[in-house]
Amino acid sequence: MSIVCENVHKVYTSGGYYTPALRGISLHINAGEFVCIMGPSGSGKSTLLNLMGALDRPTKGKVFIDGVDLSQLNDYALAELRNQKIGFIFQTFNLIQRMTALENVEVPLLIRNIPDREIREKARRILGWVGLANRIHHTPDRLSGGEQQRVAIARALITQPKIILGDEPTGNIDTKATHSIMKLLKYLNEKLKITMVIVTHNMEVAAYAQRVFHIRDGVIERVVIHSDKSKMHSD
Amino acid sequence: MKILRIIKFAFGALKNRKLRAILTILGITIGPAVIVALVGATQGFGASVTERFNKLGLTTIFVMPGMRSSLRMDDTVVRTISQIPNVEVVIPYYNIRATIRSGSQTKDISIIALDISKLKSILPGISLEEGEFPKALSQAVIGSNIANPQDGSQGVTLNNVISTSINTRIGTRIVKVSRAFVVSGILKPFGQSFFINPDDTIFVPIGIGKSLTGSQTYSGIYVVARTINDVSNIQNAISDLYGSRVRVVAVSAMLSNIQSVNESISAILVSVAFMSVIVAFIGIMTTMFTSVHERTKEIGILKSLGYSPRDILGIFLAEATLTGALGGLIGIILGSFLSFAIIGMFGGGGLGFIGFRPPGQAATAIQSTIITPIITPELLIGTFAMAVAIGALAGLLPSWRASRMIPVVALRYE
Repeated sequence: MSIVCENVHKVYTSGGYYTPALRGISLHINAGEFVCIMGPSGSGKSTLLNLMGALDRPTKGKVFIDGVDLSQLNDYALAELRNQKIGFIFQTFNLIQRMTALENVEVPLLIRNIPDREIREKARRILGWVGLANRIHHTPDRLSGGEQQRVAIARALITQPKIILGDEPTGNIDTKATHSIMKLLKYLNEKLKITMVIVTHNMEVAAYAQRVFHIRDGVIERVVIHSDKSKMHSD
Repeated sequence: MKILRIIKFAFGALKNRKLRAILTILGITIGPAVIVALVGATQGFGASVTERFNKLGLTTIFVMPGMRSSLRMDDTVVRTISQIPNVEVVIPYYNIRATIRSGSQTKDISIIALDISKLKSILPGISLEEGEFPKALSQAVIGSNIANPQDGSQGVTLNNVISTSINTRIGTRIVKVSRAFVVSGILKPFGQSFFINPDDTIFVPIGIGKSLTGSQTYSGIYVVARTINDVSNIQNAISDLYGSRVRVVAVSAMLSNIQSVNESISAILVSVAFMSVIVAFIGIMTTMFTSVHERTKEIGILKSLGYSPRDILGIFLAEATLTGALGGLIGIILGSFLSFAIIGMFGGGGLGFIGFRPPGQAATAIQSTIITPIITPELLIGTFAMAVAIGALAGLLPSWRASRMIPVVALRYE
């Protein structure tokens, strides 16, 4: 599923002050592509990711997901789009603390018309697949950072999304776990053709991407293409 | 989102903040509990009063000489009152204070002398336990407390002789006179009532009254109206005839007075209970605003996972409604028990609560009548529904606010 940004601007207003976060971003991410967005703090990379994930609306410009203009969709249609097509992974994992791993993974499907038993079965299977079969009844506070991120990935995967958006998904975990998480994402990208957009500070993470967008002060500074990187990491 | 899942979700959130949830629930419990307790108790009380008045005869009017009245209640008065339209029957009576020996002590009782064949017109609720109504002047029918004293002393059985001691006036002197009657009948227990207390009374034929008091002046007159609608006209007619020289009390008027007092007390108390419902409303709203605020991040997460504004609204509304429902459920259960406690506290002494006692009669051991609170399904369901509605209404604004949050803003919240 492709993502297209056309001259996207985002201005935050707070207390009468206008802070431009994005100042005209245009890009095209192909279906099944693996890209990273890099840039210093405050460069606007998270803002861009949120716009691509329909979590926010641009001040100016348009975002298209699979050719659909998001500005034409109301809040309900955007919610449905997020539920059906997009999976999010966050730096702080964003798991619901009172729920077990299993319950957290079930959450996205609770609003769908699927029997409870089927949801539970699916959640169990995906948690097993990400290597947490013996952790399903643990609450997030009893899981390591890497394990929590796997729960979050399982939660993103349970809806069978076409796009996964990661906002510094390895920012809070150690190097070893970082690589195992990135290999997992790479596998999902190659085998399931899920479009990956990952915001990161980490050069090693960026190395997994086919293209890296470097952003500074709300504009794309340069684009680096790693044409054969995917082959390097797939073995 | 399916309703059952929403409830489960809401329940999980409540469970996560147990203490606060319990306190909020307790906050709403008080209103429904007080409403059920008071309405149940006052309705039970009202019903019991009505029942007694019915036994007493709602068409009965008591006519007694007024305070310091010079009026001689004699047959002229009886005849005059008989001529008032719609008067069914006029029954003059003598009420004589007497004592009887009961075990080692004496006991105050009333002897009422009247045309015994008309007793049932005054007291429709009266009936014989055994024996028959007196046929001869020497016979008497006695109340159940006299036949079977409450203090455990030996009672009186049928065809026994019961001796009484009467203070009577001869000229200017008060003389103690003894008088014995053969018990021809024993009355069924009647329960506490007004003006006449049949359980502690000996009913004798009218002729005895004349001979005992030595006068033609009656203690009072029972007037029975044809229908309950005639009561007030007759009452007015008697007042027009005799003014303050007589005291006129209609049973039906007393009943409506007591009922209206009962209802006003109940209305005041219930309105206080409604205040507590308003307090609970504010309590739930405050809790829900706090909850929404604290769970801003969670709202952001749910929105990022595709929960629509309606889903979010549902989750928080369910939480508030569930709080109201639990509070209401506990409230109506608690209130049901409480209404029994209220009756036990105030109504246990029968109608003594109202401070009414038959004139010329000492405070005899009141046979405590059990008053049962009336708790109807309508009361329970209505009160419960109110608690649920209060919860839902109180949750509306906080839930709406939660549903309108911009996902990315909510997610950024720490």
